Amino acid sequence: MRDIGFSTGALAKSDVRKALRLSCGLGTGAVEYSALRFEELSPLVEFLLKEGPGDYRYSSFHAPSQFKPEDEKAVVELLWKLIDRHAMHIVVHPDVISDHGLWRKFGTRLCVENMDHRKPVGRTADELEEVFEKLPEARLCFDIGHAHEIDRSMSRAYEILKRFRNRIAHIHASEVSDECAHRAFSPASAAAFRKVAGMIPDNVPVILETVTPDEKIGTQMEEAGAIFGQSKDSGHRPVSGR
Amino acid sequence: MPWSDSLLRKVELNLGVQLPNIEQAFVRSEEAMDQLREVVGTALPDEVSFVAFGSLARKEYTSGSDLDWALVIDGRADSSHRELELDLKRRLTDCGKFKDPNPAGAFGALVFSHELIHCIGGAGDTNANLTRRMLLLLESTDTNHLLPLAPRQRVMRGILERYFEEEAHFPGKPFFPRFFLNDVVRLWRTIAVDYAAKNAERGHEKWALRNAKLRFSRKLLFAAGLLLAFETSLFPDSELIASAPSTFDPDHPALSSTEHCYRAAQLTPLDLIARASMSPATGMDSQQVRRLFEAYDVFLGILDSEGIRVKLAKLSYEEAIREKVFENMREVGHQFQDALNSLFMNPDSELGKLTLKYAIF
Repeated sequence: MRDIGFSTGALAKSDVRKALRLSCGLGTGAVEYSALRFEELSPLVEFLLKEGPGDYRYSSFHAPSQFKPEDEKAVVELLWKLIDRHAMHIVVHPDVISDHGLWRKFGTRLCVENMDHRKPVGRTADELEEVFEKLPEARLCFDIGHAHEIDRSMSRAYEILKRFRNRIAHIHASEVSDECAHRAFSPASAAAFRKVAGMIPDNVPVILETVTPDEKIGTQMEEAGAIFGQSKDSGHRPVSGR
Repeated sequence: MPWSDSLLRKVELNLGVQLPNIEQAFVRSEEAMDQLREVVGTALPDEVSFVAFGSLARKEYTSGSDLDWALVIDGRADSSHRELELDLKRRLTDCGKFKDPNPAGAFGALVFSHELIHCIGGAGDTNANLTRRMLLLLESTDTNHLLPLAPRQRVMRGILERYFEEEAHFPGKPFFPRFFLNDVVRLWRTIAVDYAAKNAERGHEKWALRNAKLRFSRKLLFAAGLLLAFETSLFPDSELIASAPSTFDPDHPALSSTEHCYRAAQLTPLDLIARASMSPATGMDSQQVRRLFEAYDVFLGILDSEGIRVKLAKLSYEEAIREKVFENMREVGHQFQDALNSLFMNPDSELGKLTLKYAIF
């Protein structure tokens, strides 16, 4: 059975303390700290260096989805501190990488995420193959919502799983609209995700990116558990100092 | 793609035959597609594909070919799509390089993914919808075909997934896409019935040309549809993408069949025959393959000759049997039919076994 948790960005945008409070109340075994905006990166890294990632069985950190190439080295150095101190997984969008050599040192701690249709790379199995050729040790953060957004039939998602399921570190789960907005599961996306959920190894955690009102967070967890299977024993102990 | 890299050139080399008319049509098709891309341009909205059907998509474009096209839309309805359609119609007319599609036909219009994917069978599935859906799978190409996420590609996957997802299948038993096969057979029989209806409506006008197309290109389409329905049975390990071969997955028959057949559906009907003929798995007799391609080459030669086309276009049913041009076409049509029969109905070949088991009763 797998751990299911939330992205802090989905629970409370730019308010990590609130997100962790909500996450704590859910008793989840996994969490993803989200610094999707460049200006969120440094404060969140500092927070984690000081407070630690909490006693989750699985924790990851989402690198900014946009930054200038001249900032890439500084971004990598900041993220390296998290790996060095807390052995976290780092999620990165393949289109922000200019110098793959900088990221290669992250080894298996680096998770490349498959993209939605707006990005020019990393959307399909063939495009991911090109990325993994440059980052041979990197793992995959399989965003099932993105795979569904580019192909509602899920045959491209199937192809990605068939070729890269052994690389998967964790799943990003949400319904992604045609305009690429992350939202709660609908019956249509839940049915689509169920088609391939059995191909995801049992020990792979699911991070929910469903932007959900506070009162519906528990429902999203239950729905995710029904789609992907959920850990009965979350083993979660809250982060200290909140 | 240059002719020298094509599957059809490999057939020429394998069989030791010359297929000059097929080659000329292939080269002409590549040139026409380049011209079409120039006219249509690349600035289409994300949700729109300009899709070409018919002889251009089959790479059988001759001097007499018209351009069957549609704007396939997979996204929100938008009133500006109509403006786009009218603008493209104007541009295609103004450029003077393409003949308009039949105004009474299924093309030259906006086509929406929802009808194509959801209206399979039942009262909502019109003749035009069946034609568009099946031709999208069997003979289509788009001006942005190199984009991996073009709407045409999404819709093709969506249609295939519906056929395979809804296939009645008992776990652990062999998976065969009867739903899809039945629609292929249905298309072929619909074409044949519509041929009779058009003769009744239009009389002698272009009757003999329609007859020639029914004997060759429409029949070829049916043969290609059968091969696509047999794809995962004949090629459980497909070689179509060398770096990542598709393998039929009995644990996920619908998803793996969608991926598998989607790739095969990128081939033209002649390519599908060529590929099958070069695979030992199908057990196709090379002499019959040769007869088939030679006959089809003659057919494309007929369509490419303006003199013969004009003669056939004016021919009445009563005159036809005394007209040498028609009689020659008819005889070559029999050769084509005999070759297809030998290839698809041979009970000792894998292809024949599949046809006899699934395609008739």
